[in-house]
Amino acid sequence: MFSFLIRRSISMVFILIGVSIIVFFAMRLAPGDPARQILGPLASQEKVEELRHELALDKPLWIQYGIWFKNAVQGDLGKSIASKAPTLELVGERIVNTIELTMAAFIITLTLAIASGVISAVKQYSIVDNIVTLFSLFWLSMPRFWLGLMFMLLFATRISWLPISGMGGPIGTWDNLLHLILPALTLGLPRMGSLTRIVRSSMLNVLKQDYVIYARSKGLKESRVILKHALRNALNPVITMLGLQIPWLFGGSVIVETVFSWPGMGRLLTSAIFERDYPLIQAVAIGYTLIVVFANYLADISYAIADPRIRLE
Amino acid sequence: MSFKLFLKVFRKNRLAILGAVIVFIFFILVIFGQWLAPYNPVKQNYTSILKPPTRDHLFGTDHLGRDVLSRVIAGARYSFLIGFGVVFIEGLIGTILGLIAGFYGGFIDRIIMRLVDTMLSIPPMVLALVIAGTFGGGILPVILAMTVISWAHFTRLVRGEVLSVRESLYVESAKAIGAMNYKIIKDHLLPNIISTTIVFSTLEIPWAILFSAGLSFLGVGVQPPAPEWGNIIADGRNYLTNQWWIATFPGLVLMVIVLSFNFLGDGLRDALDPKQVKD
Repeated sequence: MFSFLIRRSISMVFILIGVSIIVFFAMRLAPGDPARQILGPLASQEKVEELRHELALDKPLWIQYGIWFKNAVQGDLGKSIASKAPTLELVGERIVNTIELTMAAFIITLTLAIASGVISAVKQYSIVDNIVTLFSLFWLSMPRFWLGLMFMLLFATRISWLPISGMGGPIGTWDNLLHLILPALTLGLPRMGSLTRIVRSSMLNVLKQDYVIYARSKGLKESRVILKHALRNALNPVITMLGLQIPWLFGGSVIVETVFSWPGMGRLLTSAIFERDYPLIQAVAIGYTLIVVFANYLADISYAIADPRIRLE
Repeated sequence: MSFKLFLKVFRKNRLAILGAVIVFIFFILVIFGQWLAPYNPVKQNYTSILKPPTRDHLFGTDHLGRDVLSRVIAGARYSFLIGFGVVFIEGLIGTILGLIAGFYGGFIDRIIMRLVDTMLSIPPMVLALVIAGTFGGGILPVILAMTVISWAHFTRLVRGEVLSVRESLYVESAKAIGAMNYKIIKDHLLPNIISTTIVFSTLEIPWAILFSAGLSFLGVGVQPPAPEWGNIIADGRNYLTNQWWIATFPGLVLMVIVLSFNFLGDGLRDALDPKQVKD
């Protein structure tokens, strides 16, 4: 276990460096001079040169990255060009909101997917099974931004049940939870599609195993056989799949945050991109990668807990 | 596998047939949309602004008096171009790298897979936004951004397939009689992974269509006034409360088309691999 933690932490560092290089070069290879874009077309050439020097844009790319890296290691991810605040602070303010939204969506996806996957496996080829299969394809095909708009149209303007934008109050307050419902559903429901299919096929596989037949022939109640003996063992592939889905879940939150004006990292990112705020874009990308890598780490650990045969080494 | 068997299994799947029919209609719109659309999709008409759906304008009109139906029809072309473009390039890169990594193994494999793992740890929408956004939006930046975020899982899939085929007897024998590496790849590995690759590509197209619409919705994809589906929905967002039709219809069409591609992909998967009993 200990050596697993060490090895994963090392690979985490490599992934972070890799991501920072990819994002850094993706931004810098784009056409156009960032200094000129920041100052606008009316600024004098001297002003532009000055800013280029200040942002170290006049140096070769590798040196620019080196400067960024050296500062980053010391905990300085630079200042936002637009607001002049340290990017680390800006990201820190938003990261919790994104995590709240994503966690809520994650819980929705997981609960619904396990419930419908199990039902559809137990009642294989029944009408319920067909409906679940159809629905999982339906969710898989759902444009998330459109779903969010339709939710707003339905629940917030036609029937004024739920608030449509912002996050209400501080995390955990009643008002905040009310504001959370629609964005979390919008983020969570479409993810349900593929997960339901995995739960279903994994359950079908497990239900054929000897230990399930044995549990049944012992005379255990069917609900106990399914929930204790079968589901417990069917969860392993589901956890693996969850690990792979984590980046997609956080990626989807960018769109949902925009639709519902949820003040998370996604909105910070979109505004940073339109303002060409390079240090901020870089910092947000690092923030996302950090939580994704950390979430994967948790997925691995829960994988080992769910299946004791797996030793983390 | 014979083509007859393929048809036999495929024809039984009613949803796949339905999907195929709608995908066919989608292609018709892509090719002939220009002539089928009732109005000019970008022409503004200030005498009929924000009109609800009527017989003249089935999907209503938007804030500039443009016919929403005509814009949706014209939008099919963008979805097609980006969807198929991305999947083609992604598939090409993924197949080549997956073959190399899976066949040669060792050091090259480790390098490629390390890169794949890194790519898979970035939230795709974040990286795509950064790339498409800094390159200024438009069809080519979108294709570039989406290829960058999607080649990795294609590579991983192809590599997995190659690993399972590599151990088979016919590859062993080909090696034993001294066949050259590229011959083995071309004659033995490629034909055996091609059906998986085709199925996976078919299932990638709906993803690519959805994702590119999402980028346009965020404002970094195809730029307005081009009638891309994500754009139209973004326009409609400002008029959601009172002019619901602008955002609703394009989204509905987008969903139906993506769903049809998914039906079709599922049907193809079952039909191309009848040995594998459904789930």
